[in-house]
Amino acid sequence: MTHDNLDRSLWIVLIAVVAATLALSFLPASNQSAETQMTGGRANDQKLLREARILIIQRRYEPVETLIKLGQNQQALLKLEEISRSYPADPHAYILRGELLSAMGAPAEAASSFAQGVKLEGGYVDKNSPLSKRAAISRLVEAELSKPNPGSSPQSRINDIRYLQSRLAGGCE
Amino acid sequence: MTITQCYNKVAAFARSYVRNFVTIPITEPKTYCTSIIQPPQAGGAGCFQLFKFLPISNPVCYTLAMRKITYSFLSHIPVFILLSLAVLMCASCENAKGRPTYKIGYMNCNNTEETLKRFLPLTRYLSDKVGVNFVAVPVDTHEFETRFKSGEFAITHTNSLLYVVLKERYGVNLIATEKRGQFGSRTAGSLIAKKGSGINKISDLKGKRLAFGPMLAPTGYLAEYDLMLSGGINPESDLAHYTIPTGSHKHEKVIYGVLFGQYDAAAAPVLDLEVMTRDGKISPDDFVVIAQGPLIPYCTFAAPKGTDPELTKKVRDALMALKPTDTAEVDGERVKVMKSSWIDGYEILPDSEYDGIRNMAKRVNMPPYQKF
Repeated sequence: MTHDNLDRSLWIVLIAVVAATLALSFLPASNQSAETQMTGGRANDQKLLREARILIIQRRYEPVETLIKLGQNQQALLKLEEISRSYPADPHAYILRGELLSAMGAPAEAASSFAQGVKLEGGYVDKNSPLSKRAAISRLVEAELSKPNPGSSPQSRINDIRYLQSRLAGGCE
Repeated sequence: MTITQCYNKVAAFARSYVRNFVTIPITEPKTYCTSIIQPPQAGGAGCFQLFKFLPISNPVCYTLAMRKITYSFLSHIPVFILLSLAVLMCASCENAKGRPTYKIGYMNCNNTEETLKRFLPLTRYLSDKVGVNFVAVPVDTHEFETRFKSGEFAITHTNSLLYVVLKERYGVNLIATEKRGQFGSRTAGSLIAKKGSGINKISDLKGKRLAFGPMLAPTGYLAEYDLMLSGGINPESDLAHYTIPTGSHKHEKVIYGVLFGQYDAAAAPVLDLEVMTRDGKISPDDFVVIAQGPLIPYCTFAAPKGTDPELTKKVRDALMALKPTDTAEVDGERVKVMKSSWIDGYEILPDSEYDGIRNMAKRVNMPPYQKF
């Protein structure tokens, strides 16, 4: 069937077209699987990151948690201050400080600290998050809102409480 | 330089300039112009009228004169601008000098130098906002009442115990309470000991050496004295001895004194512990907080009974409006007021918030309830 160079060239072109068509039909499937693999990998990465963050938090703030358990709140607050020198923007420090200040009778300052922490990481008001501090934040907000004449409080205090209330209700940043 | 002196100086220069100006030859003999400089009394406060043209009957001559005058005038515009600026500057200086002056008595926290450095920017800010000249006067704590009695201050800035003393004895009016540190407008006193010293509770202080801060310090003396009394320790009889360090920076001295073994325990304001920890001067791993007193108001602005209520209101409004971005000029430098004054803001607390201090002062037998 192949008699000359032209015929051979035509056969080569035909084979190349058929091969390309077959390859194209398979290509989306392979891409899809790669994408699926990538998504799975990303999810795994995120899960690992979350777990790593929890471990880091546990290790970093263990001395503070220990002091809190011993009832040494002022000492815990100072230890937290010392740790914050190295990690000034860690939202967990704000949340812990909020818990401590709330327990030490400074609700306005606690609300401010909670608000700063939640602004940095919304997971603290998410009831499904392993880092959730929703119960502690809710207690503070409810206690502050139930106070008589909250309108006489400074505006910043009201703003923090309203912000936390909105985040607890599912509002976004 | 007063406005009159300034005017005379500027006017002398202007007169010489105007004299040259009016020597322009004018062809029409009937037409003449003259110039006068009006003193402030005639022309209004600090203003002066450089030229005044008297009747010029002939329109041609008038035009000619005006052309020459205009030409001469334009060639001297820079002089006019300089003159105007000089007068404006003098007038503004005079306005600043003309404003009423009031003294704010600032109780020394650590020493006079630090107090002035801290509160000068705030004082300038208040002067700008209130529209008066406030002068910052650093005052030793123990002299404060005497100088206050002499009517020296229109506004006072003191610790909360001294505020209670002035309130009870002279009826000062609360303006605003300063916010600083984690507890905002409130703070507390604490008793500390070196970690591992075996002192972990108030009763462990029996027979030990203790250092207090200044005697009129609510969170460096009063609160801790009260804590010990409530914990069954009488500082006068149950301690080996107690002392108050001499000189400035007493709060830091007592804290370092514990860490370096000079004292077994100390009365430490939690704000100082917080600031020293934040600054990396101390580590909470090195000491234990044996006990902590209740939260009580921090430093306080107040006004004597005789101070104009309008002035008091303006000061309060200015303090409450203070933002981290507000600046004031000090020694030719524009500085952030809150940062340089170590202030996080102000809060208007009711006087009843100071009842905790009153109760402590009664229990500890301290002013203004001291009985001999």
